[in-house]
Amino acid sequence: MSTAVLAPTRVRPRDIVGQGFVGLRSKRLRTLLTAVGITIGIAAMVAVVGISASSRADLLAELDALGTNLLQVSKGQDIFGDETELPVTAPAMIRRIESVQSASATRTVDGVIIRRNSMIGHDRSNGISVVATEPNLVDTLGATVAEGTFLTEATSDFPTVVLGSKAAERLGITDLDAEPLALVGNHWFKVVGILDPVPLGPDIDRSALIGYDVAKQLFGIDEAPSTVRVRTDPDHTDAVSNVLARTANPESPSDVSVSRPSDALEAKAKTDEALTALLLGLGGVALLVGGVGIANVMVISVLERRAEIGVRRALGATRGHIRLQFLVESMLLAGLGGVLGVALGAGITAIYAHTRGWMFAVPQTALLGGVTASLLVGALAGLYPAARASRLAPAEAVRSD
Amino acid sequence: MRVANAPSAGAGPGNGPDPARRPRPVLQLRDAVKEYPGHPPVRALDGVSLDVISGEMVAVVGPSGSGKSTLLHMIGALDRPSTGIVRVAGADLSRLSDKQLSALRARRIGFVFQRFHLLPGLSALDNVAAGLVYRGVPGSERRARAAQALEQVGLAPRATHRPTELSGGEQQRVAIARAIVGGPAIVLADEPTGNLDSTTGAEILDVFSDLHATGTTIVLITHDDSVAGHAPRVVSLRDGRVSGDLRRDGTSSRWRGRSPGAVPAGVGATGGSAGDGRDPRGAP
Repeated sequence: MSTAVLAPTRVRPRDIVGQGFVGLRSKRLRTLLTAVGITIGIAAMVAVVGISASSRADLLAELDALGTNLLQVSKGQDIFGDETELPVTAPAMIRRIESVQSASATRTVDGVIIRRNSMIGHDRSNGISVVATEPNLVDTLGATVAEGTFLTEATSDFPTVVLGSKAAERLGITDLDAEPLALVGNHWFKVVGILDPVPLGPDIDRSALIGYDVAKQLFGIDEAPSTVRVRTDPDHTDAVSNVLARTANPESPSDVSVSRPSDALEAKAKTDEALTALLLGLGGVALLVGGVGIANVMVISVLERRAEIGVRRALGATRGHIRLQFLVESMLLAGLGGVLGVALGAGITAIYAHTRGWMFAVPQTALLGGVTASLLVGALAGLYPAARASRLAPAEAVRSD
Repeated sequence: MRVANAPSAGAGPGNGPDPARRPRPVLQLRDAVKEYPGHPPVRALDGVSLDVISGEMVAVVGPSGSGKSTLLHMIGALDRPSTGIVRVAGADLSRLSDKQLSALRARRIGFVFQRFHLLPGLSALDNVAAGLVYRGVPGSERRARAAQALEQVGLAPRATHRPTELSGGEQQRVAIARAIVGGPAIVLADEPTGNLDSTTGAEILDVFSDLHATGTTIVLITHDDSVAGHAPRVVSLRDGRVSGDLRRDGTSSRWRGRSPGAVPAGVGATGGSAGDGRDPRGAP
């Protein structure tokens, strides 16, 4: 009689996954409690990534609306560290650059403060600067007026003032119904407008803006600007930025400082990333702990299911089949936690974004990554229990006593 | 080689086979020895030789410690002998890898356990179908064959019930259906009535007798002589050796065979020789 050569046993992948589900279904509460560890870890990670992405999406949308084509030319410092002045001709020269849509000069009126009345001391500036400006500043900045109007060519000659949002708040002027007046230096000015906050010009928020002409007449300021804000064609912002210093001060370009206010906002988005990484790390720790929990439960499960292992071996399962069964069960357990975690994390992000008035954005990689990470943790956690299950001798496992 | 794969193949029911006339042993042991390491080593099987022919129904009896369990593991291809030869369905176990042993169990052997060992999460039908999982049979075909097997053990109406919703006898019927669903060369039952009351146990033994009548080869391992008496052939084990091998003679209740040494009570005469005509079921 020849030795039989039998086709090796095999299991369909469907059946392996099916067995895993049966294993999990028969201990529902334990399955759920074990999966919670992974759920918390994945939810934390997805929420962190989601909230940070939502915040960044919001910031970028804001930047998009504000435009990154605003440049700011300021007086700089010379090689001795002394303050330099921009030439009087700077605004006109800048306007001559192709691709410059508008340019607005401002000059801080030094030594002059704004007060509600004369009872307040000369030394109480409240952090508000008095700034002389051209009427087109509001267009160049893309600023909007909350109350009243901005300065016009006509009103620039008269003692009228427009307050930045913070300046108005600090002076206690919230509306113009009572036709409020304010004391600029020793002259009464009529408050004709209050600005909304200006994201690309936070210094404007803390300014009281008056016309160039009236500033010259009453306070004798120099006509040379301290700052010129430039709005460019969005496609040529860098080109303009490169020639701006030379144009503003051809004799000594190095005395001019050129900046892009939107850079500050982008930097803010970047600083969030460090915090995100930290929180991601914490989520990872939670995931790891969840993985250890799964390994633990799977080891117990192997001990409890010796009879099942024995029966399956008797039915023809190889060591490999048993190993695969417990590995897949562990992965399914973790994967269940992962799917719940992704859903929970996305939910947390949605709620948080809603309360902040942000748009909701969770990157697809976070969703897929969350599930993938949980499956990976499940596989790692299942390695040892699965190996233990497969090492069980079939003769020992079917022992009926 | 060809092995009896369908229950219908092999010898006819009941009659005492003659190895010379029917040269198709499903099971062949030659001086099989199994030693477990230790100080001193334990010799659980001490040179067992035994042939089981296709279509036979054999009971292996012996007290605990006689080597029954070890013999079960050998003929179930769950373990290999230390020395000697064990052939199951023509395959020499000592030449098979672990994977090949698994294949042998999946395709040639059906197991029935004392404690049923059904999978708790599955219905009766799915439990029976699980007997085919490791052959890679598609799900729909598995269930169709499982339904047939359940029909055969008279449990078709309970197909959708979970094991917890079935009585002990019903669970054991499910286990028997699982053992025969693949049409094995040999069905191996380990104390199949050990967890059942005597009435239910008798019903289960009737199921085995019916299977035997349709040509299924059955090896029944038990410590209970009254259970062993249901089989036309009774092999007695003692201290790791075969101490008796009796066959019931045709339709009569006479027993023939060799019984060197002690024969367990109820099978042959105590201390006497075999073939004295006593019915092993005689003493209830």
